[in-house]
Amino acid sequence: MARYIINRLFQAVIVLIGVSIAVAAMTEFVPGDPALAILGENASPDAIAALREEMGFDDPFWVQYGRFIERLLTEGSLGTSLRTNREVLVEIGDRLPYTLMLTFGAVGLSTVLGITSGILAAVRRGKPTDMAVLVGTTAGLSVPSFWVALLMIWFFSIRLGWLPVAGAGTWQHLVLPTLTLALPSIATKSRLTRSAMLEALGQDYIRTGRAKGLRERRVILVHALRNALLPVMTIVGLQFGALLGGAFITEVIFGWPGVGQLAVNSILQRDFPVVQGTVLLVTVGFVLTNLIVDILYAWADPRIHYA
Amino acid sequence: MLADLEHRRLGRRDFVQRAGALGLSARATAMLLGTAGVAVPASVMAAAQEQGGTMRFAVTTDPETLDPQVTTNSAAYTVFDMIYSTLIYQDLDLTFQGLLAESWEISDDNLNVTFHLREGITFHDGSPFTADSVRYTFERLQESGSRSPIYEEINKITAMEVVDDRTITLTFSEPSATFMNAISNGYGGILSESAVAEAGDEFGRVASGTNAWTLEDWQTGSLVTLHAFEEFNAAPGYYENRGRPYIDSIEYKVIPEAFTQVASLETGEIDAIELTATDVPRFENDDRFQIFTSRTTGINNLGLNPTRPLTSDVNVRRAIAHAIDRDEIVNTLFEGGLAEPVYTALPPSIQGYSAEIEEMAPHFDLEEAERLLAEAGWERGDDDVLVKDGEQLAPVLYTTTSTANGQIATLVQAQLRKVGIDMTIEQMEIAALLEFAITGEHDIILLGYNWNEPDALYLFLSSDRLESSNQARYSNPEFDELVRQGQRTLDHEERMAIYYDAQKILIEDMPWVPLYMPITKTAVASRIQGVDIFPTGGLLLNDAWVAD
Repeated sequence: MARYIINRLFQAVIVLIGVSIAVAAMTEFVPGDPALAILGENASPDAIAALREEMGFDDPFWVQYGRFIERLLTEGSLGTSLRTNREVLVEIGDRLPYTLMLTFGAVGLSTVLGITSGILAAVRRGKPTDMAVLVGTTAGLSVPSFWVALLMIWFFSIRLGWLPVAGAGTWQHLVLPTLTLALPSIATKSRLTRSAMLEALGQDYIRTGRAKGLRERRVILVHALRNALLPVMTIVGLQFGALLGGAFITEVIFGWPGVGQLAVNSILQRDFPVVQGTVLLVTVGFVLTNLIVDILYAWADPRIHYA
Repeated sequence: MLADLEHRRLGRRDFVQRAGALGLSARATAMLLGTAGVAVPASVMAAAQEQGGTMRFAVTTDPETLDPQVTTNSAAYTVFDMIYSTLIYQDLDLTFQGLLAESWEISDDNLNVTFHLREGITFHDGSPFTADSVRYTFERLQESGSRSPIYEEINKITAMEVVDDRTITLTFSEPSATFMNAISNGYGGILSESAVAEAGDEFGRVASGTNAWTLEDWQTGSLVTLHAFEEFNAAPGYYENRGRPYIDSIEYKVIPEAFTQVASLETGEIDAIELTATDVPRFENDDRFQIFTSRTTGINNLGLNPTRPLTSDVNVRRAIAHAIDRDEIVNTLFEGGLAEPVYTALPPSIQGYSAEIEEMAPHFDLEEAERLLAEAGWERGDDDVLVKDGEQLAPVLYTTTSTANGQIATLVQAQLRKVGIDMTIEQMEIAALLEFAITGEHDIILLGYNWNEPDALYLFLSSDRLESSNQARYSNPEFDELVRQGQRTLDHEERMAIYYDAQKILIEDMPWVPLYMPITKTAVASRIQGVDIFPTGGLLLNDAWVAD
């Protein structure tokens, strides 16, 4: 097991190097000159040329990449923001707690509601409950999240006045963005749980369990669910990894000060070091959560062994 | 009503509210109070304008920094402009008046300016404001302010002599007519040397100026809170209250999305926003809000690139100017009066605007457009598109991805189609577009500018700026000479005559087809009383108070 983990971590480093090269190349290929973007509409040609040189963007990208790696290894720094002149790690660090709050909230809520509704739909297959879940999940999957966000603002904030529209600081601020992020993935998880449960419930060991006189509750929640949860776990892991990099649209709509909002701003303003930092963060998030999911697989499914 | 006030049966606040109901602006009301010749007793004033409360604004991004010398970020400007004050300010009539400076003299050769500074002003960190503060501020800008929009202007200073604590003389390499404007905006905010030294690298995350508001708290990406500066005593002359603001604190919430900003205004989470066309009617008819109108110091225009084959012929450029119906653009796309048609490069909101030039400039006239195109040798061919030497008159217009620009481009496309010009539209994200524009591979570019000085002509149309802000790629030595001369001419009349001549060249060469001057309507919650707006934008808050 330990060897497996070390192996996977080694692979993770290779992925990170690949991604960091791709992101460094971005400064070369993405249109839009950071110097021009920073200096604004009335900058003089001299000022633009001077800033370009100061920022080193005239150098070929492998020279820039070399600088990036050197700084990372010697100073443990991802560079400084072209805009605020603060360390990229500090910029991300300021936002990460908010993104984590949203990530745990959305993943937690969607996992609980998704699995519960999925089990209910599977157990009551073909009954009104199943139909209701089907309709709900279809809606959840097909309605775009920005639209849900706007609708919820209109209903809960403007009409009812229950929840604040934008910002952060109180638990009320967390409700709408969490719901917006959770809704589509409740649907995914619910459907996945339902089909996996149905498959599991049709297996021989379930019939054996029932024949042995186990209570139905135990058959469903212990024997069937443990096997049905494997694919759901993968989805939870992926979603967690993706959300760590910030929920771009949701954070922007609700003015939530997380990594997603930082990333969107940095892309628009060509603040490449910060873009690089947030992309690397997403990558690390993905790689780590995938690793954790794989390890959990071994725990949940005794048939899987890691050499 | 005035009689009521004389008998002191009405508090000032009641008066202002009633005046508001009669449709008088706060400024008109203030004038009325003045003409009534009534000294409003301090007790009445205090009853009406109690200290306290919070006013909340939205900004679309987190301020990049609150160091006024190293950024052009608009959220940053909005906030640091409240914290730092300048030597001089621009009055409502656009003339310059003393703020931290009491007065100034300009030497006969126009190369020296001596500022006499006000006494008794302290920075937020408690250090005194002196001539050394001015010297330090400008020296720091020269040294490390290359990102500041006024960097070039400050670099015209070749020597600074601190005569005494209250007097400083600046010497210039050449006379500068734009210097006063440069140091009157927030980028010229005076810094406290001790505060900068103490903050070190953290300066910009902390701030200390002499203006009415101190930085209290900054939650990255979310909220900046300012508090009234108790010792504040240097408000511009257009305020009645020259001391500490009545409002206790101001919050700037970071809300990037326009819809969310509007929703936040409706729920009362913020107190003011600039309205978009679709929201104007709704808020104008809602008595929970007051609407303030201001003009933009700039225009949106079509840049016709004279270096491209299709737009190199001046007759084609003039024909395009005649084919565009500005009234149609303004009436269909800017409901609620959010734009005014313009025909000159300098709109009425900027000094140097000339009604005479406007009269002479090409107006909407389809027949004249067709005549000019025929004169240039273009004839209708297939699909009614103009053809000359086997080539169709089919230019490409580039603009940003904004919805408004997309709509304007589409309307321009339809208008040009009527005279046989088959224009296509390319939309690019703004940063990509600005970089692309420097290559000069566009026939037409739809963009706008915002600059409160006739020097805008130099910045956006002189050949010195071909590698940056002159996106129309216009180059005319005669014009260049005039706008450079405009920068050096301090005499107002003489200077305005220069810009008259420069604009006369423009309406002949037609590198720009001016389309409209944007108008801003700002909705402010009624609970905030006594607010007014600067004619070219910016809420005036020192007389304002929270009325709930």
